Amino acid sequence: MARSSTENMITLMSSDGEEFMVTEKVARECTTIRNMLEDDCVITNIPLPNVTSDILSMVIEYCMEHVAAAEKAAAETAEKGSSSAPAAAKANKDLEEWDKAFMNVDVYTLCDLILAANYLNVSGLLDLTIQTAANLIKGKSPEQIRKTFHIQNDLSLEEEEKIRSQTPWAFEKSE
Amino acid sequence: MAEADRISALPVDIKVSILSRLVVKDAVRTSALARSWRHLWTLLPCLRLGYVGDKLGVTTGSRWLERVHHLVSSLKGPLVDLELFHSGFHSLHKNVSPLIHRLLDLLLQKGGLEKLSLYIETHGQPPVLIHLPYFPHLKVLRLDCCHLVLPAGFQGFNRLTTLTLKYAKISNDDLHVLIHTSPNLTTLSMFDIVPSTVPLSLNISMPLLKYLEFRINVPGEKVSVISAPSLEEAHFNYLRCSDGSLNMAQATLRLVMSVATVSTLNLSFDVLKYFSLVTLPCNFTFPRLRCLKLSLLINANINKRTHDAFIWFLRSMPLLEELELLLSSYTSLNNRAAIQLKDLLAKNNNAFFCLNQTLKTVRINTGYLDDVITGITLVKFFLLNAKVLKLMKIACWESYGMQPSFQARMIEEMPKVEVSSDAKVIFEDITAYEYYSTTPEWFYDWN
Repeated sequence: MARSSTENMITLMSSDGEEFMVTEKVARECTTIRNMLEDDCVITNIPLPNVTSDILSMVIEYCMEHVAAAEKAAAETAEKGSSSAPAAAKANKDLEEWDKAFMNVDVYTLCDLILAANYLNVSGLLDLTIQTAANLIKGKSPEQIRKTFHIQNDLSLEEEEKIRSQTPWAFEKSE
Repeated sequence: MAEADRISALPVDIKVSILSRLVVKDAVRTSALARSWRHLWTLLPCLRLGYVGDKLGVTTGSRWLERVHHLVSSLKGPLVDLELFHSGFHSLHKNVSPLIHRLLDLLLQKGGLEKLSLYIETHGQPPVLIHLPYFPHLKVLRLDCCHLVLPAGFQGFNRLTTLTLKYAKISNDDLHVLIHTSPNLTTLSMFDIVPSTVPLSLNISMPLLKYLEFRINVPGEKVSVISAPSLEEAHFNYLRCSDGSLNMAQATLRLVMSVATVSTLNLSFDVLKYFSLVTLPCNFTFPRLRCLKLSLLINANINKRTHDAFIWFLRSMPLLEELELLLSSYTSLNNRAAIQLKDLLAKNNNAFFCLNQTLKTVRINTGYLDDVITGITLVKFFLLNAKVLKLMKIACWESYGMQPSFQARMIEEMPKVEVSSDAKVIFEDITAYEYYSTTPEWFYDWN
């Protein structure tokens, strides 16, 4: 996509010292950064000590994809006067597919992305990652969930028995 | 070496928001994962508990309510949002009021409840909600199949913004007090309110109301809008109360004119039949109206005055952008009526400002239509005369099947239709599926 040369560029620095140049528009997808920019508009270099380079590059990839999709939709609306409903529905579906493919990650990366999305306050990404984590829990037995997320069971047999007996309906197999 | 457990290390509020995306059964099951997960679900701020009874005796209604009570009493954090949906108390004929009282009492002690939605279907008397008036923080209240009685000196819900009453039993006086002592109400929906003794009669005078929706079901019922200066959307439906009287027709005209400043108007009843009985004021306008949904329930008695009423709507809405027509007919309309409609539309089309300037979307929903000719007449008319039309949607219930296929007929006709704009024509198949696919997952979760 063509970008105007006058667009402000921002440098984001990950915890391991890697620098990422992004447009201000992409950076503003992170509410935390948007607030910094609004408080101090000359800022061009932002250190992010809580986010590693691997995760930061993924967050930027997500923001760029969503900014591009929004720009495309806006351009279509401007061109035709109004966006046609079927085209908008298709664009939404494409973006959903992209999100789905983007969430094809291991549980460590998923948890790191949740933390980064929470810290940078990227509401769309936080929503997506939290829903993905919920989907990994949905309909599974405690054993399966522990296995998925590598959760160590520190309950004694008696304790676990007691917990299960308090809400037996939650442990019944779904019909 | 054990692999790292990253999810347990997430902050508590994030873990709670993961659990809040799950149905209650899944969320509660995480209590057996590990020590740090044991009480996590008790911090859920919102509970949605459903039961759709299709099997006898699986869980009786009272056992279900006891389970709800246990769950709510286990919560350690504040409960902000509670939705209960219980359909089919087959095994419950006794009064569930005491159990509901106990539950509301518990919620009252916990405090902080902002959203409450109750759907409790019983075979006996609907539960009487005597504690309800004392919840001061309620912002959203939805009551379905409940009986609401207000105490003397009721102070109103100061923070309430959304009120939905469906098949709820409430007296006219209490209903009046309820909505007029809740000064911040912006959304009011009423469906088939069951009046205590006399038919529903309500005068609405609400400064902040933005959205009004009601359906009345009994002849003699009446809702009037005295003053609603902020109103943006109005949806009216008279289900089975058309007595065909002049009185009713005049009241209907007054009602529609009293909400003339809305931007969205939905009239899902045979409004044209009423309007054919009264004199419609010329030069009347709906100055902000952009979206109109109109039911054309065509029966054998269609006449010129019915058509005049339709034209009155088009003419009085100079900013109309979206028009949806819901057609259905009891008996096949004859050719003559369709020709009449066509002539009338053609004769009047210059008078419709919206056709030349603003109308962008038309949706013709043929529902149970067996009247292909009127449908085709309308489609042709808008394609020819709506100069800035972008989208023509033709929705038909193909799987209804007993009637000649509207879509097939329409496709056959399309090449002959003159089109004056660059409108796209889209066929939508509305099948029964569309009506049943909206049930949320949690309704069935807790059987």
